[in-house]
Amino acid sequence: MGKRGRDAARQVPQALGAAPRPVIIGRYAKAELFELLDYVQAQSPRNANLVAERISKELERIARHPETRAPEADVPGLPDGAVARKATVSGYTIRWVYPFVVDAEPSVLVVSIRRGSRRALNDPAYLLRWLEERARHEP
Amino acid sequence: MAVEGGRSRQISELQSDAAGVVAQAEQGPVEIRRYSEPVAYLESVDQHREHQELDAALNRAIWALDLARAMGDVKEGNFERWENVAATLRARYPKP
Repeated sequence: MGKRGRDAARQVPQALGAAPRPVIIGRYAKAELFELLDYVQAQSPRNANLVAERISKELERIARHPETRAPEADVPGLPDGAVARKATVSGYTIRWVYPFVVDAEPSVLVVSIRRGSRRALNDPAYLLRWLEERARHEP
Repeated sequence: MAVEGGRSRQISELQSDAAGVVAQAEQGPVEIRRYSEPVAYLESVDQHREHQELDAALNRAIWALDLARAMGDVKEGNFERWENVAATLRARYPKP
């Protein structure tokens, strides 16, 4: 067995054995995700199902290995010790913070799930709505 | 990207006058056209770096706002375990 084969063989039990961390998502990020998937469903119910399944699978992976992606540099407002990361699946970007302590338990906090690398903000109508929403809720 | 009047060059000029087109780009972005359609923009190193810095700043701003919102939701108890959300996703977006 070559080096890659041996590495892969070592990783399989690790992947299966890693205990998943609790994953939580805030109300707003959840509403935004549903809004996006509703939009996709209106175009194609099959795509909405596929995207929902892939996002769920990716979050299961993140729950088991929340620290495998490269940290995002220079994110303002991170709690002490927490690191921000992102992963992209089927063109949807999941952003999360780990460890985020809730009830003394290190958890994965999902910050946003959006279409595109950033950036549902590429759409001017969405950007306007997003800014209006911020203006209503931010102090 | 907006370019000033006269800052548009044909793609063939890149071959015939590359140095001239680059010199022009150092003064401001140049639109490169194939026939009448813009196909690329040439910009100076300084302008490119400025765009990269703006892009990074926008990324940081989006992270900061989203993170503040997510942490605010948690603080107010407005959050859910992902397992519950995943169950809703399965019911709401079923296999057709």
